[in-house]
Amino acid sequence: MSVLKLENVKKYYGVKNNITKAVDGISFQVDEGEFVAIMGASGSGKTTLLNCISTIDNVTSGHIYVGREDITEIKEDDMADFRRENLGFIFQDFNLLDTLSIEENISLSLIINHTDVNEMDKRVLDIASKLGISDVLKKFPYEVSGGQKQRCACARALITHPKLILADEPTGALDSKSSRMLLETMRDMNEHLGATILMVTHDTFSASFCKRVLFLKDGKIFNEILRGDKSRKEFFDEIIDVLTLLGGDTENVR
Amino acid sequence: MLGKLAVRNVKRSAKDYVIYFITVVLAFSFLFAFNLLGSSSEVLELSDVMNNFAIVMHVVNIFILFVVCFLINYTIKFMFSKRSLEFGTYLLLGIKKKQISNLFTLENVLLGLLTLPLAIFVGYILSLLMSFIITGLFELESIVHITFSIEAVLLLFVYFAFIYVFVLFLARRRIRKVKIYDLLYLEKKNEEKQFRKNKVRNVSFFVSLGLGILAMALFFQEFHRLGVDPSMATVLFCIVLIIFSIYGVVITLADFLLKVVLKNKKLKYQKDYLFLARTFSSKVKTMSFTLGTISVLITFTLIALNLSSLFKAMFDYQLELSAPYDISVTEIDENEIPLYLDFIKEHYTIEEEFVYHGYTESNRNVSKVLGELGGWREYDQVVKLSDYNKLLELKGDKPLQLEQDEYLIHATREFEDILTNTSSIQEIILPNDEVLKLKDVVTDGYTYAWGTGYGFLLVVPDDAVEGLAVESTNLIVDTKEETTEEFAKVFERLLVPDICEEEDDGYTVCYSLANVTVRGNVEATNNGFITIVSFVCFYIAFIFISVVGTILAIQGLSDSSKYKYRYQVLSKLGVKESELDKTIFRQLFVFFLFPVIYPIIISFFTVFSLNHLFQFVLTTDTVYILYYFINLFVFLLIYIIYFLTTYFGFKRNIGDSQGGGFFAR
Ligand SMILES: Nc1ncnc2c1ncn2[C@@H]1O[C@H](COP(=O)(O)OP(=O)(O)O)[C@@H](O)[C@H]1O
Ligand SMILES: [Mg+2]
Repeated sequence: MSVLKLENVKKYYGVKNNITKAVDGISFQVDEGEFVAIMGASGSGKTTLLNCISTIDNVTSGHIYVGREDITEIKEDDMADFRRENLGFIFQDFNLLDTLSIEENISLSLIINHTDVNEMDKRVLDIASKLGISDVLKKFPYEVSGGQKQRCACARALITHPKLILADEPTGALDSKSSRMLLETMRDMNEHLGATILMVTHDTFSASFCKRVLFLKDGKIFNEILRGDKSRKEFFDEIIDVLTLLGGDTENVR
Repeated sequence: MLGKLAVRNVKRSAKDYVIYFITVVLAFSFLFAFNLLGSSSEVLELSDVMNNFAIVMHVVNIFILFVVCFLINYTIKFMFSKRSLEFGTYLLLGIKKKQISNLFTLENVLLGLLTLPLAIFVGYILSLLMSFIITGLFELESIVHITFSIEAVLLLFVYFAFIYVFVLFLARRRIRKVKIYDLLYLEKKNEEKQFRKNKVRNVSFFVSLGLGILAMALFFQEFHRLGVDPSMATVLFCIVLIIFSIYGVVITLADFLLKVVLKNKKLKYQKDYLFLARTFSSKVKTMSFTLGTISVLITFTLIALNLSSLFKAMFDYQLELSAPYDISVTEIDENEIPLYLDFIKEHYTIEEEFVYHGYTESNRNVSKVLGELGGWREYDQVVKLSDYNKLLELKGDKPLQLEQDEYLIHATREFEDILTNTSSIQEIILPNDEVLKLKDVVTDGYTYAWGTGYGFLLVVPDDAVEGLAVESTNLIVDTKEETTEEFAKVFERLLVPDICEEEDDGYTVCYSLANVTVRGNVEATNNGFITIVSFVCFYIAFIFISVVGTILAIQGLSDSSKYKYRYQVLSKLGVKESELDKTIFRQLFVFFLFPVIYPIIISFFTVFSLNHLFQFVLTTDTVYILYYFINLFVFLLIYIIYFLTTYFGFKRNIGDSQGGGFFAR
C-alpha cells in the first residue's frame, strides 16, 4: 500500500512575467517501509517539494495523498492534528527547543497527545536506547554534540510512529563521522522499526544508504534508480553515473 | 506541560529583556505614582489650581498609556519574531495554533503580572519622592502626606488590563494569520530593500528635508509676529509637517549616507567605516519606521523638557513682575488705609508700611509714542524720585540718582525697543511746564505692582511733581511672615465696592477701584501651575526617553547573537580585543546617535521660535539657549545610561562562551 502519492504536483513562485517553476509536474509514489532519497543540484526544487509534502507550503496545483487523505484539501485547523498523527520531521538544523531537556524534546508530541505518563516514559527510554542517546536524556540541547542532537531529532520524529518521516538534508550540519552514524541510525529505523522515510539530499554518500533514489532537475523528475540487491558501493557508483549524466554542479553545497 | 513551558520561557525572556522589563515597571510605577498624587486630598488642597492637577494627570496618563502600549506591543512583536523558528517547530510537531497562541499569551501575562507588584512598590516610593518635591516647591513646613489608596491600585489594574487585553489581542491575531512557511523560512522578511531606485531615495530625502525647513519657517513666521496670537491651525499643520519630515529623513538618511561613504574612496577604506556603514544601513532598513517613531518621540521629549523650563522661568519672572511686595494695594481710598492696616495686623507682623502717590501727566508724552501697543490711556503715571527709590529699596534693588532736569522711564521689556528709539521723548514738557530730559529707559525689575495696566512709569525729581494732580494713592506693606492664599481671599472681601453695574440678566455686580496683590496668593497659583507643567513635561519626557532607550537597547542587543560568530572569527584572525571593543562601541554609538541628530536640530528651531512668545516674560531674550542645553544634557544623561547598558550587555553576550549566548537558557 502506498504511504505517499503525488499526482502532477506543481509549485510556482512569483508573478506573471517572473515565474519560477520550483516544482513542475511531479508524480511518484512511496510505499510502506521504503527509504527513498530525492537528489538534485542546488535550486532544483528539493526543499520546495519537501515543504509541499510536509504541509509547510501549499501546492499551486496537483494532489498529494498521505495514506488515503489528500493533504491539499485539509483545512488549516485540522492540519496540526494531521501532522502530529502522520508525519515526523528531521531538519538540517535540528530544531530542538533549547528550553526543554532532550527527554522533553523527544516526548513533546506525546505530551500534547495526552499519552499516559508511564507509557510515555517507556517509549522514550525504548527509542533512546535504540538510538544510543539514553545517557544524555536529562541534558539540554546546548550541552550535547551535534550528532546527539540530530539523533534526538530522529527520536522525536519516530516516537509517534508516524506513517512517514521527512528529512531535509539531515546530515548537512554534521561532520562525516556523525553523518555516518546518523545515516546508519536512519537505515536501522527503516529496517528494524519499519519507518517509511523520504530524505532530501544533495550528497551521494547519504543517498547511497537508501533503497531508491529519485533525481530532480529543474523541478522535474529526471531519473529514478533502485538499489535492489546491489552493495552500497555499487549503488554509490551508479548514483555517481546518473549525476554525471545529469550534468552540472552536482557537488555544490545545496 | 504548556504551563511549565511558559514558565521556562518567561525565565529565559526575563533575562533577555531585563531592560524592557525595567522600563515597563518604571512606566507602570509612574502611572501609579501619579494616580496616588491625583487622588491625594492633601495635594489637591495645596492651591486652587491644584484641582486641575488631578484632571491633567488623568489625561496625561491616558496619553502615556498609549505610548506604553506601543512599547509593549513592539516588544511582544519583536519577541515573537525572534522565536519564529521555535513556534514554527511547535506547529510542525502538531501543536495547534490555538495552543501556541495560548502559550504565548500565558507567557506574556505572567511576565506582565510580575511587573505589577514591583510597579506598585516602586510607584509608592516615587510618589513619596514627588511629595518631597511638592513640599519644596510650595515651601511648606511639613511634608505632604501621600496615602496608599486602593482606588489608585484599582486604576492601575484597569490600565494594565487595558494594555494587555489590547496588545495580546493584536498578538493573537498575528499568530492566527501567520503561515507556518513564514515562521520557518522568512525570518528576515522585513529586510527587503525599500528603495529600488537611488533616484527615488534621493528625491524622498530632499523632499522630507524640505518639508522640515518649510515647517520651521512657517512656525517661525507664526511666532515672531508681535502681538498677534499664533493660529492653532497653522501650528497643528506645522506639527504634521514635522512628523512627516522626521519619518522621511530618518528612513532615507542611512541609505543616503551609505552611498556617500561608498562613493568616497578615501572614506570607504578608512578605519572600519565601510563595516560600520554597511551594518548600520542594513539595520536601519529593517527598522526604519520604528526609528522614525523613535525620532518623533525624541523630538517631543526635547520640546516638552524645554517647554517645562520656559514655563517655570516664566512663572518665576511673573511673580517678580506682579507681586514683588508681600501686600500691595493700588488706587486705595486714603481714608481706608488704617482699616486695611488693622486687618493685616490681625494676621501678620508688619515690618514696614509705605504709602505713595501717583501723579497724572496729561500731556501723554509716552502713551502717544506707544500708541496701540500700550492701549488707551488718559494720562501717563508719574512718581517722585524719593518714592521710587523707596519702592526699589523695598524690592531689594539699589536706588537711582536724577539731576534736576532729568527724568527716567521704567517700563516692561516689550516697550524697550520703541522707547529707546523714539526721539520725541528725549525731552518732554510736563503739564506744569517743567522741561525734562530723558536720562534712561530701564526695563529690568519693572513690576505691575506700581500701577496696574500701565506697563511703564515716569520717574521725576521730587520738585517736578508740584502742580501735577494726584492720580492715585497706593499702599505697600512688608510683612514678617509669608502671606498665604487664604489671607488673600479674606483680605479681598474687605475692599469697599465703589462702582456697581447692572448686568443684562438683572444681577448687580460691584467693583472696587482698589486692586490688591498678595504675594502668597500669586505664589500659590504659580506654584500650582509650575507643579502641573513641570511634572507633566518631565513625566512625558521621562517615559518617552525610556521607551526610546528600551527599543534601541532591545534592537542593539538582539544583534549580539548574530555578531557573536563574526567577532569570534575576527578575534581568531588576531584582531585585538580592545579593537573589537572599539568597533562594537562605534557600531552601537552610531545606532544610538542616528535617531537624535535630526530631533536636536528640529527641537532647537522650535524652541527658538517659541522663544518669541516667551521672551518678554523671561529675564533675558537669549536665556532659552541656556535652558535648551541644560535640557539636552538631562536628556542625554538618561539616554547615555541606556546606551551604556546596551554596550556592556552586547560585550557580555559576545564574550559569553556558553551555548547560544544571548538566547541561551
Ligand atoms: N519563497 C520563494 N520565492 C521565490 N522563489 C523561490 C522561493 N523558494 C524557492 N524558490 C526558488 O525555487 C527554486 C527551487 O528552490 P529550492 O526548492 O529551495 O531548491 P533546493 O532545495 O533543491 O536547493 C529555486 O530557483 C529558488 O530560487
Ligand atoms: Mg534546499
